[in-house]
Amino acid sequence: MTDMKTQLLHIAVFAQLKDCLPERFSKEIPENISCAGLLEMLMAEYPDAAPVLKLSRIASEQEIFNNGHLLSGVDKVFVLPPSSGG
Amino acid sequence: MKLFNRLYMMIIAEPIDIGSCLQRFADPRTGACVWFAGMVRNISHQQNVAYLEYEAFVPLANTMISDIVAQAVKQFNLLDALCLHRTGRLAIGETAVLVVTASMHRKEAYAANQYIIDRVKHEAPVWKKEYWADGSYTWGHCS
Repeated sequence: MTDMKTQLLHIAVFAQLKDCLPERFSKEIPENISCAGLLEMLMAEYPDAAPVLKLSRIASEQEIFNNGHLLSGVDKVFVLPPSSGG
Repeated sequence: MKLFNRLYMMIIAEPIDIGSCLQRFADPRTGACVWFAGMVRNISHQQNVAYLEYEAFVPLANTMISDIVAQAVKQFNLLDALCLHRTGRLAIGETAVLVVTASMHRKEAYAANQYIIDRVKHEAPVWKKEYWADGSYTWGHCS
């Protein structure tokens, strides 16, 4: 048996995701999880939000990460559903 | 030659005053100034709209819109450009988004304006919530 290292991640969601998830919450995640992996975790935990999470992006305050970006050392992320401005 | 004076973009919670925004486009080299205003209409998807709410992830939206406007200035040789996007509750007829582009000739001003609004709608982290006359709501989809 191996000990899986975890880290605490603060997560904020926007728009329609707030109908299914808490607006702000914290979660223990495996170290080195990717953005795609985080979205999969959230989809499993919040199946009602899965259709939107599948199309969502993970971001910091400065940039949108690609799906393969590793979240090691990141303490806060924002989950962005598809844009609908204008 | 310096091609533009300054860029201006912002997510704002206050009503957009189009007239005030246009006053800054006074560069004597300007031969064309195009403005586009996205307005709140009273019908959407065959339903009566009561009002809209816009939500934005402000720090990232400002950065992304700034980058889009800067790219447009460079790509279309604009003299000046502006993009404002509202947040909060908007009544029917209010301006949700304003894009102004100024250049020496109309072709570039038109093309740049469309480039900016198309990219802002599809890329910037801004979300529309449509409230219907019966009190229900729907989160918007980009069109």
